Amino acid sequence: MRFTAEPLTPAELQLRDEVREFMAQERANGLSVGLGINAEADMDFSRRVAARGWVGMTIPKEHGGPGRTAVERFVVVEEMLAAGAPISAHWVGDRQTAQMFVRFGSEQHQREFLPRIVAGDVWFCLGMSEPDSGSDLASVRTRATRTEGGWLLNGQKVWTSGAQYCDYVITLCRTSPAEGRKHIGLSQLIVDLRAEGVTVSPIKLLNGFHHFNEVHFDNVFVPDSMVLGNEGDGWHQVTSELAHERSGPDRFLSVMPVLARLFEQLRTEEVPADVRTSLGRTFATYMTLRSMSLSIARALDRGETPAVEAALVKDLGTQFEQEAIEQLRTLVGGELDPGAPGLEGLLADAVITAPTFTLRGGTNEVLRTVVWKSLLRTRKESA
Amino acid sequence: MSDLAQELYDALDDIVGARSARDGYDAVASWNPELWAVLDEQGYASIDPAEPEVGLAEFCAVATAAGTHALALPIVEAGLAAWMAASAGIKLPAGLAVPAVSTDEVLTVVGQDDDGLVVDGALRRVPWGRHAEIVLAFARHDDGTSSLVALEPQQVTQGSNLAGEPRDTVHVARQRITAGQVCTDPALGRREARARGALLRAAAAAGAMESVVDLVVEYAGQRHQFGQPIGSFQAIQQHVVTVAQAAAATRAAVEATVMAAPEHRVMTAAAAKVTLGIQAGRHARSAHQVFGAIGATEEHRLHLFTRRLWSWQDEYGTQHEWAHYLGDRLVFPEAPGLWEVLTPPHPLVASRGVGESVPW
Repeated sequence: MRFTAEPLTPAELQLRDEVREFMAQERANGLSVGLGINAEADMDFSRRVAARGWVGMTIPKEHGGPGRTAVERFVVVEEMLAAGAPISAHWVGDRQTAQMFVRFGSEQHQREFLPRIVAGDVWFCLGMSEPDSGSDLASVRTRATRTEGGWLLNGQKVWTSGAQYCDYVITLCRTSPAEGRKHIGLSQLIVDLRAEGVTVSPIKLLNGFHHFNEVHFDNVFVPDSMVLGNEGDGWHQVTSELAHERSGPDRFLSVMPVLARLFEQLRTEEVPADVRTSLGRTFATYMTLRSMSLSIARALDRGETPAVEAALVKDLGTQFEQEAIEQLRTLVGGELDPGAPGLEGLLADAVITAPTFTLRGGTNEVLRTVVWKSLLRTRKESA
Repeated sequence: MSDLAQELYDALDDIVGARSARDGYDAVASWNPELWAVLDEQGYASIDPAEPEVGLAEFCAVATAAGTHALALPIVEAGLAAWMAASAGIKLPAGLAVPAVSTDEVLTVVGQDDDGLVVDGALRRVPWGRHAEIVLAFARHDDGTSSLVALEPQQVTQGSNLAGEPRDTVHVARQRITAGQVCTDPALGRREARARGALLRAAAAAGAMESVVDLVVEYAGQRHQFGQPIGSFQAIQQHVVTVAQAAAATRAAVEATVMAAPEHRVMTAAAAKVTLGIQAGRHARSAHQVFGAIGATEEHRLHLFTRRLWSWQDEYGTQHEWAHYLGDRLVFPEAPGLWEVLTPPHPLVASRGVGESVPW
């Protein structure tokens, strides 16, 4: 596995400066700072980002998108995450759903949804996990059965981020029996969250945030036109987007807003040598992880699908995030009050939400199994 | 990798790989004058940093190839010494020249006239000092300035690193250095020379780690316990992936330094060395855990790599030292913000003197 370094070009650096300026302005206007994709959704903010042309950036021009590169999207996303911007409203559509429609969507889907994603006019969430299906995603039991003009959907999804405000949930479900092979017979349906028979109920995170939901489907009618791609192609669709889902800056930048606050405080102080050393170690890891993550975006632009590399970086990045929190606790010192303003409150939030870092988007243990299988396969091929 | 870097890597890999297959790993992983003569003839002992097509990528590629075979010959040192001398306009005589910048110690200038300098002191942890014709070292003047000198070692006390590679003490007793072997005003500072050494160690370590990945994946697939390959156990898979991950991270940090903007080169080299420091330990721990007891014996060649990693992570500055350097340079009152500092290029960060002062 190689992570070839290719620094940002002058044009990419210029885009970066534009995003930095935008974020500085947003902060000056009182935008609240949160922790990566755990920050509470802010639809108005998402629309302002969209107005700059920074949502659905990689959607090709022929589909009404800006036709920018994966690296340009990387630049925008890392700047926003580092600044603690509340990007979660447009996050799923921008990162995954847009790609899904470009690759697998019907002409109608592309015409109907892609321009709206770019405009910040539609929000998506992912209906994958279920009460009995977590890491073993192919075992989902939500089922769609044939009916006149479409499908009747029944079942339950969990950990559905943002379902309380989103418009659609991309739902992985069984559309034909497994017959011993669980990866076949799965499809993704685009389900209107306001349709009859859909119930959304909150699952509160440990910090009290309403981020996750349970979504119940009780005989929900889904028209044929809302099947994504070919019926039965769901597993292929889900796994083909893993490189997009797992490699991004969201996998190592969750804690950056906390560390950046501490930095603001320290840079004008007399900093003891051991604190400088501790910070320097963290700086080095950020630099290395960022280079690896950027190299995956470059690979995506070359048309590769670096899903294994992405799993490796996600594992490394999320472990680091949790270690960084421990380090921050040592540096900040003392008891933490989640209601405290500024650095202390943010750090408290990080401590409480940190367990999710190594769970969401594939647990680290499952990711390592993915990497192991690839190492073994590569070895057998070369032997 | 550039074409030339790839060529240098492949050719060295071929030569040393063939030798290793013929004479055994140990013949490569210990001092071997005959192989040294072969590599010298192939030009590996005298890669000229002044050649326009030779740059950092090429030296790193050579270091990685050497690391891949646990090659116990001073190719990396010869390259570092040649670069230091060239940057200071010192013309080195024939024979092996090695740098004495792994530790932060310097000689003392005790006399100076038109014919050169008189220097005194001791240089510790000089790689392959006992085999060297020339040692390149910094010497400090009364006024605090430093000269770079090329001296012939006269008295050497042998020492070694954890892998048995020579790391000797060169004793310098009021030795006269002629003017041609002195640069009294080198643009290259000690910090920068050591950063390049640190980067080359990380590059070599990345090669060693890649070999360990191969060994570990092969073993986990072959070794059976409880009636199945141990690689079928998730606990073992986790270790194997840690091994591969550490290798990938170290290599990525090296490549990021090769591609970095010159005005941020020392900073990124420091990050690469810290990354090696963090990754070497977890890499070796997990590799040994997969191999069990046989990996902790001289019978198995795993130790050729892991013992080097344990040493290389400290040579040319420990993780601690380089982490402190980063914390010292990058936390400053005028800093534009942490994220901006960590994502160069940025003029305010460049103004902290974290880049090249001579071309790498």
